[in-house]
Parts: sequence; structure tokens; C-alpha cells
Amino acid sequence: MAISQNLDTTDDVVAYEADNTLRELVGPDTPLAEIFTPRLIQECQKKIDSARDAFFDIAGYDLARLEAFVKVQMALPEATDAWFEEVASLAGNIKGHAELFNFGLVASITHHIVSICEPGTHASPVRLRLIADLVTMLRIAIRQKISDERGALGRELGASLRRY
Amino acid sequence: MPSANATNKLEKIQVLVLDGSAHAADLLRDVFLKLGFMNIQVVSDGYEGAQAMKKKPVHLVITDWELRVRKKPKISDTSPPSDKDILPLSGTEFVRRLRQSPHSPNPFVPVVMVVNHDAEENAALARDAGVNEIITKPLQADELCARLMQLIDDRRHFITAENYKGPCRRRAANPLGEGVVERRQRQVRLVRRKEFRSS
Repeated sequence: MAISQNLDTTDDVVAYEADNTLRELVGPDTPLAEIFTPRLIQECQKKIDSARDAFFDIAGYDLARLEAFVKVQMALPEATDAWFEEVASLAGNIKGHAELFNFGLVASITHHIVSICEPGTHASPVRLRLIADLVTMLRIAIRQKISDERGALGRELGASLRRY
Repeated sequence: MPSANATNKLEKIQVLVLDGSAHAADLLRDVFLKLGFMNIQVVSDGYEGAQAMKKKPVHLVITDWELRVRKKPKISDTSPPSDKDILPLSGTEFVRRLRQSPHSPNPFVPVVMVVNHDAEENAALARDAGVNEIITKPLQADELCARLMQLIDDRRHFITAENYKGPCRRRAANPLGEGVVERRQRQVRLVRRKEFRSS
């Protein structure tokens, strides 16, 4: 590649040569079509589909942990920041998993749980009540395996919560 | 399954997967293993990601748009100053700091970001943070492989400017190559990577 010479050293935009590391590691002459074959891509897709099919079962286990955690706290007068962080972490795990497959309603509910867990959104008792209600909705969505792939239900939920 | 020869081609590549959801990260790791990648490290937040990159070289980063945001840890007097520079992080913030921080372990490393399908503005933000390739959810094997192939043969220049550091955002095969002379007036110059390393 030609490199421009004798340029002003005060240049404020610099373009470096493209990083070639991945190509060097793969091998300069290796055709990528030999690595990423249609059959291999199909097998990977099967793995993704199988994970998608198992989503609601796995989410059920995560939900059980979340529900247990919330249930214990509801008997107490006020929740700590650490409690909210843990709830956000549990809900965030389900959220990321749901988003990977575009399960809109589960993603939306868990998104709102995570948002409510952020400090300063509401007083602690209000946040607790909201979280408990959202966890109930989450239970229904997961048990009934509502995929909501186009996200209509999730958006509706978001709009309702904003009004609230 | 890939042939033994083809698998060997990918096993040298060190992959770092960042995802706030353990299940999503596990699936990404499984898919990469299936593709023939052998060295895959999974972390849940940007801080761990930066630490992992400091410990050993990473050739490819796959990050989710949203990472687990960890609380800023207490930084003792003996901690290196760079620790202050990497917390807390979303996916885009991780990439931006990876590209721009003077403490970055590798500002040139190729980055693929996984973003939600319905958020076009996220894709634009990811691009402006310095991401090389974007994959939209739901995860699809053909799209993932297409992006990886594009990345391996990515010939785009790495641009450093006042407000941006990352791969050239123009998709042309060689957007600067033939126009360098004209672009001199706009203060653009090409340098070899080793020149950067030695500076």
C-alpha cells in the first residue's frame, strides 16, 4: 500500500492500515467458504433453535429464583440497594436471554424490572410493589410461553407503565 | 462439522465474549465452539472484559449492546490509574474506551456487537463507538458467519480523529487509497501500523 509522505505532522485525522491479524491467523490463502460451510452454518442454527426451544424452561428456573427472592423481601418494610441490585441482576439475566430470541414480552417486563431497580426512580415501597406486580406478569408470560416475537405486547406494556 | 484442517484455522483465534446474560453468553460460546473456535473467554461486564484483555491477547471481541453494569469498585492507592478509566460500562462505552483510552490493551481489535433488531439508533451508536460489525437479534447462524467472514477480510482503514477512533465507517473497499492526494487538503494521512506502535 502506498503511504503518503511529507505530510504536515499536525494532521488531525490519521488512517492506519487495516488490521490483518484475523486473516493471518486463519491463513492467508484459506478460502473462508471452506471453513464456514453451509452444513456447519446449519448445525450452528440447530444449536440456536434448540436453545430457543428451551428458553421458557430455563427462564422458569430463573423466575423461580427471582420470585423466591422477591417473596422474602415483601415481608420486610424496606429493601436495600443491594437487594435491588440482586433483583436487577436476576431479571437482567432473563432479559438478555429473551432478547437474544426476540421474546418481546419477557424482554419488556424484565427491562422494566431492571429500570425500577435503578436508584432514585421511586420510593422503596413503591418500587417493591411494582417489582412484585411485574414478577407476577413475568410468571404468566413464561408459564404461558408467550413469545411476542413482534414485540407488540411488550410495547403495550411499556406504554401502560409510562402512563402509570 | 468443519474439517480438521478448517477447524485448525480458527483455533488460534482468541475470542472474548461479553454478555450480561449468562445464558446468552453460554449460547454464543457454544456456537463459536461449534464453528471451530477453541479459545473463547466469556465475561459479563466491561470491567472484566478490559481485565481479560490485559491478561492475554484477544483477536476478536463479541459484545452485547447491554452489559452488566457493575458498581465502581473502590480503587486503592496502589491500583493502576487505568482502572479508573474503564468503569462502569455498557457495550458501546466498552468499545469506545477500548478504541480511545490511552490505557487500552488493543485499540485495533475487531469488535462485533449484538444489538436489538428494532433499535436502528443503537446500530448507529455502535458504529460511532468504533464497532466493526453489527449482528441483530434474534441470533441467526448465517448472519453471524457472514459477519465473521466479512471481519476476517475487512480491509477498512483504522481511523483516528478528534471525535472518532475505529474502523473507517465507509464501506468502500479502499475509501482512502486512491484519494490520498486529494485528501491531503483535508489533513488525512496513511501510516503503517508499526509506525503507530513505535510512536
